Amino acid sequence: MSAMLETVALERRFGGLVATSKVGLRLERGARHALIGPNGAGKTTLINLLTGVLAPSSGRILLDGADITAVRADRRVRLGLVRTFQINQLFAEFTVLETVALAVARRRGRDGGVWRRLAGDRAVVAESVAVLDRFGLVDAMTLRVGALPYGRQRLLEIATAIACGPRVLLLDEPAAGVPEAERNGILAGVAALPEDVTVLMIEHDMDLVFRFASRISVLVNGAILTEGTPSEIAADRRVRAVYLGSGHG
Amino acid sequence: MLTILFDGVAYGMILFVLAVGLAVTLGVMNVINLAHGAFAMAGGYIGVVLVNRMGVPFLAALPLAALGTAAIGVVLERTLYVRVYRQSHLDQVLFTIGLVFMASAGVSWALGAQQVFITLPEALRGRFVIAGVSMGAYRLLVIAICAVLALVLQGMLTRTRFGSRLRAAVDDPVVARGMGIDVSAIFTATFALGSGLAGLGGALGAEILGLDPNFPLKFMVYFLIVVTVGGGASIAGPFAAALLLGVADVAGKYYLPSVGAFVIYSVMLVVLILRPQGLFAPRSAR
Amino acid sequence: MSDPTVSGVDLLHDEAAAALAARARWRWPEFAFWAAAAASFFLLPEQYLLLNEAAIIGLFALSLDLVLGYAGIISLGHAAFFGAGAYTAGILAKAGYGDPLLGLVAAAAVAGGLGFVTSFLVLRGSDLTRLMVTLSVSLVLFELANRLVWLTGGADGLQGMAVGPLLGWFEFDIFGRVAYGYSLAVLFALFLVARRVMGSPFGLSVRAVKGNALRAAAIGVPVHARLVAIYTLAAGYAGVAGGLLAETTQFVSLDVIAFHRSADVMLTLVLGGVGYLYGGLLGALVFKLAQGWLSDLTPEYWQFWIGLVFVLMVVAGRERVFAWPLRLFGRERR
Repeated sequence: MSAMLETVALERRFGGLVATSKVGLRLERGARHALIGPNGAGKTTLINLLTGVLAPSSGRILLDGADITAVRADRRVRLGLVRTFQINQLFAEFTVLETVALAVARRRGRDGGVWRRLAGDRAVVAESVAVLDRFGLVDAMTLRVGALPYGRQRLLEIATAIACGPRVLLLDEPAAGVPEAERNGILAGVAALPEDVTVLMIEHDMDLVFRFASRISVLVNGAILTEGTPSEIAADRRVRAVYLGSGHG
Repeated sequence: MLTILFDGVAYGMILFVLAVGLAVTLGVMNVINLAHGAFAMAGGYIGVVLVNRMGVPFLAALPLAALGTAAIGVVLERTLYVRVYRQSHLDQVLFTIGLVFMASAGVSWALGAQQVFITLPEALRGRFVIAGVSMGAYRLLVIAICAVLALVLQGMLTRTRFGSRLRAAVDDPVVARGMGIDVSAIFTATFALGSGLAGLGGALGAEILGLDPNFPLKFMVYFLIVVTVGGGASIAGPFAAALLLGVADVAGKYYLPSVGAFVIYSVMLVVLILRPQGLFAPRSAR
Repeated sequence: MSDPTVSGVDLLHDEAAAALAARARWRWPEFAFWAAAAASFFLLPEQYLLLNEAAIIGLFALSLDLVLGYAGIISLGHAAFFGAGAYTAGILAKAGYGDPLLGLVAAAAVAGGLGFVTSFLVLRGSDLTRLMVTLSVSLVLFELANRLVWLTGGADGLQGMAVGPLLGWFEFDIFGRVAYGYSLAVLFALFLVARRVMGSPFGLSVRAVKGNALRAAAIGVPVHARLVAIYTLAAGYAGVAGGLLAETTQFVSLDVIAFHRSADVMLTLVLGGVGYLYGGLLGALVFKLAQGWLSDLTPEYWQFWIGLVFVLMVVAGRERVFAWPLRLFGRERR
């Protein structure tokens, strides 16, 4: 059975610097996979490669068996490969509802209509409200995104990605910058994802990683050091050596 | 034909001096300064006043024009431009177009709307024939001065402390500040340098380009071409672009007069389509 | 049977739908504006010529708003489409096809086509690159108009236009009555369309592209397609404005594609405020009034005052200066 998301010898060079080195990832359908590694290991670069923001120097990317290496970024989203950003990338002037509604409309192919109003589309409105509800954002529905506190913006960031109806979801440090108290909300949102959605999470928060992941890959200097179950990784001496002194989690 | 080339090179050199300041301020401060031509105009008119009305020798008037324009630049930078750094590109465009309108109208009111010329000293009015090519003395001087300037600028950028501070401030202002580099002083110094160069170019180029209150608008496009095609990251880029543009423009007007400026704009369009970041930019443009 | 959960969900749903519709709802200042515009037709006959110009400039500025305010593209060459429309209508009229509406349709088609073709040039690159590209397109077009004297009349302008009666009935008179009525009607119709389109899901996705193109692509919005579409629409609108000018003045000169047209329309739009459709219309009114007043004061140096207005406006902060018309006409700052 083909994997849901797979990379084959994926490589990205910037001049003489090798940011991503022959990375081979393999995510099965419904996987809960975490990617960890020290700062500068190239995790976000990898996500950028997977989503098409960056083009690889060599190698291939396969989504559910189909080669998407040359597919444009927005097309990949329509194929079901969705990401969140490490630093919130939202529409500051939109309302919370508008943000999610646009994602939902896009997924349903309704965002190109020039005449009918979005408000009249019952299905879109209903689904938008449902997504917001799942992340506890209904009371913020009419607020301007730019006016939300950072933690809630983060929730919106994830909610927006979910509203895109992903088959594969790439979360780039979802808890980054979020106060301790609000991290549970993030984890709850992620945990509530449908089982057949494949999730790859990059995180520094080890607590979150070990609660979430069933498999972990370790990325160091652009290459995969090792991969295994959480207990295997926790016991791996090389991994501990790599993390010695970084004090996260 | 070599004379055409020679004239084109002289023209291109002037464009370089005029545009390099714009390239540097754009690269350093990420400000779209459409008023750059107004500084050039200021330098030109300062030169005119100094030489024609006050009898200052031409070669002395050149650095004075540069310094005067640099002073104007510093004043404007500290008072007005500094508020515009953080604002959107649209605001910068509006602001600088506003400055241009004010400058053009102001000059027109103060000194009249007709084209003006700097009275050149006798020595510079002759022509030489070197290796069979007819060269104007004035243009020879222009080329010499500009070539020296290009080398000096290149040296300054790569070998001096100011240069490395400048490059640091371009790369990452936050980190640069953290290292104790006074970024706003760098900005002011860079702006002064850029406007001073523009002023020099204006005074130097008045004879070749023609000076009137519409100068900024007429030549704004040329400066922008040099900057966008040449990229803002080096001295060599704008230098090559300016030379190309100068030669192309002079040759075009001579050999294909009916097509004229058309060629320049079309060529630039093609370049921008194929490489939006410019022909010479080594890294991704902002 | 009353199921509290169900009706609770319904209420929420209605609230959400209402929130989404809020941006597109008509507010009383808008009714007042158009009522005043209609009234001006009946109450200000001495001002027909001035008002006609204002309506045309307003439409032109509205078209720039689509590009600048909604798509976020800084264009210094929008006059290219204005001029293309003007010349199209003019050339048609000169060739004997004088029906005004036909001229407008042709103007829109040609300008829109030009917009479509050039839109691919503004998809990539920085703000400066796009500025350069739009500027050079208009400069190339200017040179073309200048050289093709047999077609455009060159520097002398296009003369001998025979513009037929509007709808076969209303002859254009020297007082400008028919002209103003015509321009105002076209402006209103196109405004309604623009309002509807920008309030649609398409409009929302365009605004998303402007707000954060990276995020928009990450949601799956086809960024390039949206930009091409809005740019083409805006070009068509600008073409109609140009056609209106040609038909109501029965003359077309190189002035319609000159750089100052592009600069002036940008200033006009910014005067009124960017991104809520009324900015262009309000700006046109202010611009025309100011132009009239300042030209009387200091005819040659009116450029200076325009420049000063813009320097002050930017230094003071555009958003702060124009908060009140924005609030009145549509863009709430919550």
